[in-house]
Amino acid sequence: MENDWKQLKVSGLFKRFDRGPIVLSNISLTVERGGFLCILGPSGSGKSTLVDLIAGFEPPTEGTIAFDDTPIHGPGPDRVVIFQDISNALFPWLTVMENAEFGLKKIYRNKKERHDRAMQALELVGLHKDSHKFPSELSGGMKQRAQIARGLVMDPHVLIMDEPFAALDAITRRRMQYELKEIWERTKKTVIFVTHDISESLILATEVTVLSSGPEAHILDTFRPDLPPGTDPADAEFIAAYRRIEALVGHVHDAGEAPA
Amino acid sequence: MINSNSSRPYFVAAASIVTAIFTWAMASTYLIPETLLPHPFDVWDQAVEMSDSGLLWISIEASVWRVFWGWVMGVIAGVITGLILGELRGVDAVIGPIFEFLKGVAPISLVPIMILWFGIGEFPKLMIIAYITWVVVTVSTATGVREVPNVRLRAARCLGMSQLEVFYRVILPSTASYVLVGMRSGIGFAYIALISAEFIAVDKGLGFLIMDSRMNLQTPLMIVGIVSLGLLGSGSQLIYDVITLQIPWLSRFRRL
Amino acid sequence: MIRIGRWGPLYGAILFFAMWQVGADSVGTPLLFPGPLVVWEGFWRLAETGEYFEHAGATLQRLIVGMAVGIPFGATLGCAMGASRDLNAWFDPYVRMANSTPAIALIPFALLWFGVTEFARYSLVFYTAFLVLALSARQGVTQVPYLRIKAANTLGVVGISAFFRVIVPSSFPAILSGIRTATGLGVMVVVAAEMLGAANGLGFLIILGRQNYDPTLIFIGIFSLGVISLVLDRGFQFCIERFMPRWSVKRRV
Repeated sequence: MENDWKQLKVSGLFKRFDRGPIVLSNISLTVERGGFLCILGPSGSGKSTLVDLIAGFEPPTEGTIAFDDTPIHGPGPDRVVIFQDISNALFPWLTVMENAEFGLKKIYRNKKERHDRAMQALELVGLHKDSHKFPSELSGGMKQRAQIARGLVMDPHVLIMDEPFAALDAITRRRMQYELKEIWERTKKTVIFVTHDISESLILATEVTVLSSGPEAHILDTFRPDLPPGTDPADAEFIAAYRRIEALVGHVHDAGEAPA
Repeated sequence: MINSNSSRPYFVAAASIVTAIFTWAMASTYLIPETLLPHPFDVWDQAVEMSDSGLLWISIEASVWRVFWGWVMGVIAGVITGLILGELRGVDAVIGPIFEFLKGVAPISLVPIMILWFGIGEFPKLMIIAYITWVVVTVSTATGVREVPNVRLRAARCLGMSQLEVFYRVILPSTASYVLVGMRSGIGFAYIALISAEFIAVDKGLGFLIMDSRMNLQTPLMIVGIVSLGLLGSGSQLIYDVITLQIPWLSRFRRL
Repeated sequence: MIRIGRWGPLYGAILFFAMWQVGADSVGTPLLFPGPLVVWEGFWRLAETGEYFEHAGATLQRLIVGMAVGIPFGATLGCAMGASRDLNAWFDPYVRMANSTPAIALIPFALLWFGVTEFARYSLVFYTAFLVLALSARQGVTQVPYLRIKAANTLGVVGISAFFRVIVPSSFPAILSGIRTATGLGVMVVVAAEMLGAANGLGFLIILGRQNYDPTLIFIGIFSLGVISLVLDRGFQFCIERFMPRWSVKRRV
């Protein structure tokens, strides 16, 4: 894959499974290289399906997904996914280091080079001291960092993160969010981050796309929060952006369901 | 109690065993005829004699050789079959039920037909032991393959693995823990098959010893045989545990 | 790929019989390897005279009697062992020894003590069921989440009452699973006991077949055993789902 792409473009995406209902309807979005796009939507809005499509696990029923003009073909290390189910995504029989090196075996023959690259990624996420440990010996936050390191090591075009912090406790989650932001600022990686948490999306993203609830989920709005750096969730601009999204999402919720 | 809480169970167990042996000795002397319940000392003497004469060791060696090789063959065949069944859902849907059926066929019931076909050599006995191990290991392995989390397969694909690579770099290791457990269960069943075969058609081995001693009313011999068998069985499982848990490369799979 | 779905077992059965027939044909002599049709004929002959049911019934009876006594006693001891560390320490050595000594190995011993009698066979099935249930029940009791006991305590249910109202019910799934295992092993023991000294039963049928050089009888016996095991196992699961659905494994008590 050429390394000078500029955008990941999703155009006119529709998805239905077999002869079931339409899950996603007319999804179009553009991810600029180096950007951090957040896809925000309630449960059941087809967020995971959208991830599957962009990652290449499922083919779209209609529409295209492409880097500039080159369409994607199935899953691959150019679009690494970081999964929510951390217990099952990491390989439990391998240490953190071995997990991180996993995808490198094909690309780099040199043992030392693999080790160094993996170690670099582990340092970035702060796990370099625990590289010999097994996943079962790690806390939830550490496991997720290990997964992120494993993905970063592949130097993907896009890092797709599917509600990665949803299974963590609130304190760890907050910490991970800020750490992820730092990592993003350092690596300048392109990230697509899927979540249902409005605050999370505002802390992390440069651009937010709000999905309606399913079925036939469509895009409600896409905008750039443009929050000045160092904005705290208690600041006025943050709250204003929050309210804006809340109004959007609350607008389509069924009665009795409180917005996230 | 002077003793700390954690060593109390050992004292209770020790007391229990001592009581049991004492009761045994009393019962055999005063209550129950010698032929049915020999005195513990007689059993011990018999054991020593058998050990000295070599009878005990010949029998053990014959039995161990059979059960070991039968088990090994069964494990190899079982892993292969299990992987096939687990990977190919179509094949599994058809052949899986056959295995359900085979599980219920007691190994001992196969001994006569095996003898009819293959005579009274080592082959039929090995076959029966291998057969039951094969069934057990196949089921465990197939289950293991089916239980590999989908997320894990996807994660591997994201990291650039082809289907084949996913199979041997992710599915196989993920299955390993199930296979190891199946192999362990297989040991117990292999011993059952061993005795089944040795009861019906042999000239040496622990099973033969036990059966034969009944004919001659040599009860101490029978007891030594039974106890040896028990020790052998649990000893085998113990050795298996030591090997799979102590060798670091293997133990990481056992712990999954 | 052809949709196999629920017809899998049927295709499996057809495949099984087909392969059997092919195998028998290739060998040639029904005297050595009877095919499914020959075996079916033989079965029918036995069924007509009622002989078959006499044997099958004898085998089932031994199984059921042994289990009917072994299960409750074994489960009781198991629960007790799970509840009391002292009791566990006292009985554990014997449980371990029994675990390494399959009932089959004890057949000659039982025959010695009780002669070639029904009681000898019942005792062997009893031994198997007792042991399996003791282990299952003990595990069931010890694996009750401590949280659940604490929950009961907060509601005012403590001690013996908690044991019977919370711990025992929580260990039911383990006990039921133990019954399933015991059935499988029990069948093996009954067959073995019958083969080594009985005048009727499916095991006896197998031995008879060997003595008379009539492999058809042997096959009838083997096949019946497989079918009985399957039927008992499935039947048991079915009964649980139907009559005691709250204890089914799917509910994860």
